[in-house]
Amino acid sequence: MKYLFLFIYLIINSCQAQKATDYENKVYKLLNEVFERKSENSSSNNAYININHNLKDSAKNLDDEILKKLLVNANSKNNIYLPKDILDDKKWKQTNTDFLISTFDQNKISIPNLIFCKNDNMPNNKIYLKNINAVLFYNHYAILSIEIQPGFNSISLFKLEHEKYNRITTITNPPLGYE
Amino acid sequence: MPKTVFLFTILLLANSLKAQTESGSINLGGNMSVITFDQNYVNNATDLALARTVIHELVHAYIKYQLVNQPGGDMGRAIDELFAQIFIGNAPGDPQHVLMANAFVDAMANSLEQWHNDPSVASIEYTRMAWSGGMRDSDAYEELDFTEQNLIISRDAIESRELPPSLEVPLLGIIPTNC
Repeated sequence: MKYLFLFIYLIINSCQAQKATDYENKVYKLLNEVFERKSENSSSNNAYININHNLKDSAKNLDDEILKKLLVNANSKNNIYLPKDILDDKKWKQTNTDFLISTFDQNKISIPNLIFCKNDNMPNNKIYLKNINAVLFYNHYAILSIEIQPGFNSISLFKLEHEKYNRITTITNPPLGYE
Repeated sequence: MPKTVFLFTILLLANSLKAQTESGSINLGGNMSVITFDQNYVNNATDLALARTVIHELVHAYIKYQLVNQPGGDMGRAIDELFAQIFIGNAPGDPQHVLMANAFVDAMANSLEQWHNDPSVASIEYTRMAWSGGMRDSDAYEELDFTEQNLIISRDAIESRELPPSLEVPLLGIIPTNC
């Protein structure tokens, strides 16, 4: 009898562990849409990304000043109107980032050109993006921070429109000059 | 055809500007374009990045020249149309950079490739270099894959020497030495 209870407990526990959080589902939706090739003729490279992540600490991984700068930059675009609460960087930092496991699941990626690899097993001579270090969602907006090389990050703001994420703007840290 | 005088200067520019171009007519007749480069950028960037910036600023000067001397010409009409679209919020960016993104990327990339004259470098690298500054706020840039956009940023960062080169993204230009 004791073993039967233990068995049932393990089954229930295993089912719970496999159930993705709302945040996880949103992360995979964002990645599938953002990295999707925009045309069949696209010659773009594959994106190779470290399978390990620390997205549950996304708020910590995204510097306050960089977040503010991204929102100010987006709001300065002449065809963009951002609601007041979206411009409040503190609200972004309070959002849920509940990612249960610290590795990405390739099976949840439906596009062929986004490939998760172990950091010490990245393919040679391939151009890749190293790490996804922060993903935040707030209302119909999302922020994706990617470490392209150690110490160099691209941070993009997206808006969900007609069920699809569209990029509004990208900044880099450190910044690249304007010309 | 009115003469155009180009004046190149190097100063410390504010607001993360790599370079800027100011154009106007001169009393003796003809036009003058003053192209100013940021001193830090000139001191640090590779010759390839600087050549790219020279080409970019010369295209600004060319567009301004056309607007002044042939306001009703093709270029003038294109700029007027873009300005209207941007003003009513139908397009992002500023008219000159949007026009560059729509019509000048290949020409700028070809000019850079011919100047660099290194057959070991793939043409795509010059196209990546051509996408600079305000051109990245255009709808044409939005048509590129997100991975390609990040490769453009990486190439720019490496040639501007904001990011160290790597095996996957090596330096293509030469670092100028002080005489």
